[in-house]
Amino acid sequence: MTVDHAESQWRQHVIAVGMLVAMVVLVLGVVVVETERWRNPRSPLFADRTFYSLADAIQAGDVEGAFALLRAGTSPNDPIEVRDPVLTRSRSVLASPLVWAVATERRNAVLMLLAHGARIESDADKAVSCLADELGNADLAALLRKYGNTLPRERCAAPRDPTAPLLSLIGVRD
Amino acid sequence: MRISPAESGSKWTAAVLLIVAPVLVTLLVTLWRTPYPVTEAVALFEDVARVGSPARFWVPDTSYYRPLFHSTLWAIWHADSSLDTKLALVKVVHIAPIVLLVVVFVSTVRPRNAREAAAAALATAVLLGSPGLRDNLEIPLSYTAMAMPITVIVWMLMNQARRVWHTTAIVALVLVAIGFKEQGLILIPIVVAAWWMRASGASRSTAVALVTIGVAYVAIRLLWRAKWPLFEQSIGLGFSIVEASDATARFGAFPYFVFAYNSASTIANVLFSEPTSGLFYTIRDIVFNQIQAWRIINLVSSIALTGAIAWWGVSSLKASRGGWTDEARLFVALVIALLCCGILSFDYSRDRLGGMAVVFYALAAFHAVRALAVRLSLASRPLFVSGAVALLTLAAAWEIRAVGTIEWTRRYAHRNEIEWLVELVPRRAEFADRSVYLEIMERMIPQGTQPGAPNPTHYPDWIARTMVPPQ
Repeated sequence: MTVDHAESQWRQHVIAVGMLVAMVVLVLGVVVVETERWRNPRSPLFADRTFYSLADAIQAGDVEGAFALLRAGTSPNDPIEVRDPVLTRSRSVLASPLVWAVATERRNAVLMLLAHGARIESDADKAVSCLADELGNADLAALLRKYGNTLPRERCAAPRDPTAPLLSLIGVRD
Repeated sequence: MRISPAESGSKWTAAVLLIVAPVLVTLLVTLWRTPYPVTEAVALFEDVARVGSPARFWVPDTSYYRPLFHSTLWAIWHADSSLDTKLALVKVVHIAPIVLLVVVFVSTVRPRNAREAAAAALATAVLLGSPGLRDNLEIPLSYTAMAMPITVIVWMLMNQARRVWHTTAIVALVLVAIGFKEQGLILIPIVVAAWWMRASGASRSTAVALVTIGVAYVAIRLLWRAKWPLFEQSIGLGFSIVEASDATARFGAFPYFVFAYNSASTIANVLFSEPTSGLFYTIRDIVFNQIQAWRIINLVSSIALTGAIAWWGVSSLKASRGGWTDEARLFVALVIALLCCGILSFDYSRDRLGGMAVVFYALAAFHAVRALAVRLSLASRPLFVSGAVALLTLAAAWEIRAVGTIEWTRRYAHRNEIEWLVELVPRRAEFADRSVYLEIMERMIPQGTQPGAPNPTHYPDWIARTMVPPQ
């Protein structure tokens, strides 16, 4: 089969227009998304989840969400109300953000808190490395001892209730 | 009213730039708002802050030699300006070449009709969607990003009518490219080959000058060869990573097989988007039935385009028996660029090390797609229809990859932001004896933690997975 010049030109035009339309449609998609980002940056399409409690942000492992709260004025040292079916046996208790980050084994949250103002002063805070040991998280325990000046393993007291190391650490009895 | 070919070229060039603009501008804005990483950036700034003169960077006593890059950083760092201004200027050094690359690239292909505009738009998507470019977008590592637009300009000059100033301009540009990164060296064999292939803008004097520079460069670098480790970084081998120390122990006695593997990996990455850093992720995913859409799109679109380029290249060579054509020269330049990128990445393979060849790959894509459209227009109707659908799909796939580059960049930005939140404590301890490092790091914390850093778009899964791996 032979194709005459006009038919060939028309076919080339069809291919070109088809390719351009395919690419332009995708580019228009970018334009729509970026315009929406500019108009509504808090849309769930662009913004991360917003946390209203440091405890929730730490438990979710959302280090940016936790830092956003610190930036907004939340103290990295004030006790926070925490609650978890296993760790606190569904009771609401007060713990420091650092203790909660260790209890929930959120390594990045621990490092963020240490970098951005968390002080290790109370007995509970000094014993967070022991809590990490009790939870079987040797890496986190080593990190806390290396960067946090927390208790070495030999100075850790045995928890009153080995099945509830967090409650033991913060002195809450069943 | 008749439109001259020049006017027509300008019109279609503008049209292609208009198509590219949303992706390019979004990419640039993303880069501009990206926080510097703790890793790499602080140490780089420490290097330039500690020395009173950039002369230190011109002594090639390490395996990495980027004197012009470091001198540029030094000049910015030691200027009488605020930290914010210095950091902004370093970003400009990184971002400006990317704008220049795209604009010069589109101007070089200079489409003159709709068919060429479609091919040019696809070729620009190839440029932006290739791992070789994407991996060079990491701020502030603008080494290859600077050399890539230079490559396009040098190629453009060599294919223009010869002018008196061409030799000086080409030599100066090649020196800048080499000064920013060793990969700039690939321009030397390309210029020599262009001269041998009688490219109109490539002269004997240019070729001789660059060969002299190349020989001198290699000789000077080899003077410090004894200080280089055998393996500088970890290497990907098949499905696993081998750390540099392990690689030295395993392959030290006869490293040439691994060198060849690394070189072939870099070349294959440009051509097929697989392997990545020597690792066959896509094949591994297929073997373990964990297929990711974005990997398949990358692999299939690269295979299809490389096939088209191979067909066009061989056809160009056959057509040039009576004398070299521009297209045959470009195909030879692509082959040389691939080989040289492979050779220069013998020690370890990374996507970014193929960046210089990506420029020629994208240029070749323009010609290959244009030629394919012509060829299809002459085919039987069933072949035309299936070929046209394949080309449309190819164009869409590469455009998705170009858009994906934005999302990858947002992920880099997000990773950098996380670094500023979690890496400070380990670094304060690790670099306690490096006061300059710590001072720079502490001063840079606000730029790393300020609100508004680029965030990956939370597309529905089915869209996100066409561009990036699941988070």
